Amino acid sequence: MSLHTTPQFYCVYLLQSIPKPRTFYVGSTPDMKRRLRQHNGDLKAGGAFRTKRKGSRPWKVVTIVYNFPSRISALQFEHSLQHPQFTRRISHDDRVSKSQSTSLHQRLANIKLLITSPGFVRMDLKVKIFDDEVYLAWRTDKYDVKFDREVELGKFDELDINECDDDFDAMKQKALDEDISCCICKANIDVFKDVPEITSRHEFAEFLGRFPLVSLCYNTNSTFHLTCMARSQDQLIPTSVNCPCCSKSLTWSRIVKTSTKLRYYLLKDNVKGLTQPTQDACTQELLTQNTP
Amino acid sequence: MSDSEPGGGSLYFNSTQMQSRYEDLVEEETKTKLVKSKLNPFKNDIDKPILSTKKSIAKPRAKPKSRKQPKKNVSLNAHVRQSFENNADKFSYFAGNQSKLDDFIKRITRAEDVEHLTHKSNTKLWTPSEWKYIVNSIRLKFPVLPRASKMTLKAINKRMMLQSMNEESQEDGGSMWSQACSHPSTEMSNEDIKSLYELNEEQMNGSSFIEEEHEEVSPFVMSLNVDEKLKSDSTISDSESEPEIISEHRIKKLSSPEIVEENLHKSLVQVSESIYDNNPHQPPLDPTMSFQSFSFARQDQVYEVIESDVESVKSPSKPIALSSPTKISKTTSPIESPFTTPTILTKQILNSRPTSISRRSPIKLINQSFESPIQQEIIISSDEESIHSTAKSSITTDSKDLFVESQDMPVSSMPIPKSQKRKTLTTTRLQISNALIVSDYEDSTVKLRKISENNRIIIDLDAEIPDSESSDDDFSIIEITREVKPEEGEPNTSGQDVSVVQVPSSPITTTEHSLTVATNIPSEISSLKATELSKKFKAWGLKPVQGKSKMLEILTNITHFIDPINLTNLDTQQTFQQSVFIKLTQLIRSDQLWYDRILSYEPIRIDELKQWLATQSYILEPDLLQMYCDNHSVTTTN
Repeated sequence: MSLHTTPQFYCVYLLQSIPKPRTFYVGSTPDMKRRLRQHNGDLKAGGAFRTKRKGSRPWKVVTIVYNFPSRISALQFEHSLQHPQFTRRISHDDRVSKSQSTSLHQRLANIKLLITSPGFVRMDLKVKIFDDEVYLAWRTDKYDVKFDREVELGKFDELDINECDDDFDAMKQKALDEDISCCICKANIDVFKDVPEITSRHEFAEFLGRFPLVSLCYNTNSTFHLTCMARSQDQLIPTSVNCPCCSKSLTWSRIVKTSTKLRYYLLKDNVKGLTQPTQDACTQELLTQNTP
Repeated sequence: MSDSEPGGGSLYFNSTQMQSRYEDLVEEETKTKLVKSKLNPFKNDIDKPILSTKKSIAKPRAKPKSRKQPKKNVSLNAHVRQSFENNADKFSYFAGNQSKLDDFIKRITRAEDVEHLTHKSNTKLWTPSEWKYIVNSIRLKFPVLPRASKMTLKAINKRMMLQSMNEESQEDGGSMWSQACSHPSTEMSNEDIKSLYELNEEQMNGSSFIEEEHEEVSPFVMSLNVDEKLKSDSTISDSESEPEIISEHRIKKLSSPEIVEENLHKSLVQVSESIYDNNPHQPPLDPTMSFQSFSFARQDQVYEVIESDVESVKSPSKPIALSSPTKISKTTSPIESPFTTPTILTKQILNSRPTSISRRSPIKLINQSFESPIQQEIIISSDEESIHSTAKSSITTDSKDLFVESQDMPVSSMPIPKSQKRKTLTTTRLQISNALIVSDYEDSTVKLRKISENNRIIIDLDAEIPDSESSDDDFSIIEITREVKPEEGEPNTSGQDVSVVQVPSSPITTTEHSLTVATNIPSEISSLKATELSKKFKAWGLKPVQGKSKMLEILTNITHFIDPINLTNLDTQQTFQQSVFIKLTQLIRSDQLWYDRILSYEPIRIDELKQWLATQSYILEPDLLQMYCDNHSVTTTN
């Protein structure tokens, strides 16, 4: 039985071939560094077929889109980015790429379009660019796609996928130490609920209905039910909420990450065979090292 | 493939297959080398010409087996042992003929030295002539050979012939490719001919002549099998269609042959599919003809034409169809297509029978005479409205019996796209001799409609051609439509009703919903035709479904969902979506599990969502739910 958790890191990346700068490749991965090595043939196993051609290697990562809330959403984003001509996410009027060949500018425009499309807009996706030329192209905005969010320019070597877990640690600490309650509905949150025997997905779903997600404000450490917090907003999934105690604006994706992690942490010992759909990058690294 | 470590052997291949093959080859070579080395001590240095042997005892050799022992089931080793045991001395065999041994070894070494891939003559251990000699000697010595050995010998012969053939014919000699693409030798040896005579019936029938003996599979014989394609069941009518004429054929399934069927067909109101009846029980002479009107044909014109035609007709008793090809074929294509294809149907006149029809006593249908087939061929020229007919033979019976078919609407030669794609329906149009007052009747399975009131272009020509005006008085045309499943071709009794509105395959549910239809959906919407309904669906962003009732069903559910909003007020997709989505959001917020799921960006299964909604007694279509998820950044999965 798999329990949904926000993956630690999952990104969709754009590769550019160093010897052939007009050749690109789109992929997705939870571990960017390892993946790049695979593409370039440094690692024995893996590496996509398209990136195998000797003339195209080595590759460099020019852009990544990250902060996906689920693996599946990242895969769907990747697919849409690979097929911008006929993805349903981009409406026909907005479409930039109409044929198979896509230039760099078109690709960047597609990224912008997808991030702002209704299918992904609430996910709070972030973009990082590692190449100056590409950054310039992004800023140039050749296809005039409205994009309000910030884009980071950075160095690929400095990319750190293991983001700090402070939020989660704080949450864990609080849950274990104190009796927590929701600061909105004032109900007591029982984290150590007895978990019944769960055999089917249906039963699990039922159980989860009684085990609401909780999170905390990373400012004041006040806890709340996710649902209580979200009800204050108009949209189905909020982008940011305000903590009732300190009225600080909290980004929703960050809150959700903590809450899913906590839920997994609390349930993994009690429910047999509980898995997360996305493994952590570090565990994957371990796995690849084991295979000769 | 990334670099793999070097395998055994000095050579390294990238592909594992090649690698394994190479290794096998190396193994073989070492084996042969071993054997050779064992024989080497016996070698003499003297080279002498060799006398070919008369005795064909199997010799230990490195070459793969090409011959079996004459005695049954004796392995090579056993035989060698036998022969040498008897002699008690290995050398004694060779002693008498050192040259034998020399030659043998020489051949082996020669064989080894040459490349394996080329099949040059020096790779052979024995020349063909020697082989032949050997084979013949075997035959002489052992006149009665078991089948197996016979086969082997034959195979050897064939092989030799093949090789010799190939060597003559091609420069390349006996390369594998040339061998492969050369024809198998079809010459028959004496043995073959003999065995042919000895074939018994079974063998003859069961096998091809080339391979008579099936016990051992000879590697050099090919046999070809041709699978007969399954003939399609549907026989398409052999219509001698001239390209100009278009007619659509629709057969009614009426069990009682007395009933005259007449198919009126109007392109504009073409409701039913061209499902044709392949019922063997149906009388072979079915007067069915239908036409499609020329798109430009107007009523007036038609009438004019008729009259002109009328004049030109010689015998008044001839049923004259205005422009109908009158051939009827019983089997017509069951192919449904969005375009009606031109076909000509012949018409044959049915026998006349008393006109009592079971349920419709007041109706006197016009019969057709079965006995006298009237053949008419009427050719329509499509280019202009004028229609001329050429009638061939005509045997007329009673004027009453003669049936006038169809209508004759000038037919356009262009394929006319059907208005909609529907499920299988059959429409029967009955022309009834007396004017009837029939009110529209609609049931779940049947719809009855009188056509003539709707200003259709109907021209009936009776045996006595009436005035065009009076024709309406005398005839009434009733259209009956029912749904027919493609497999069945059951005839429809005249009284059986038939539904017009496309009925989904489960008529039961529709009756239920048909009640709710009236109540919830405003009358404007429910009165819309199916095409317009689907347009509406598209405007709202929904996926249009086949079947008006189905669409109405969907709409009812939606109104139930978002009541009390009136559907007619929602024009654009946005307003429609807004109202639906707001309600959906409300619902989701009310449920802890689903709200949590969505808030935590969990990939949602649409069917689960649908199921949950169903428990809340809301039925919504998956495409609507998908739209909702797409609009709200909810990931969907399976």
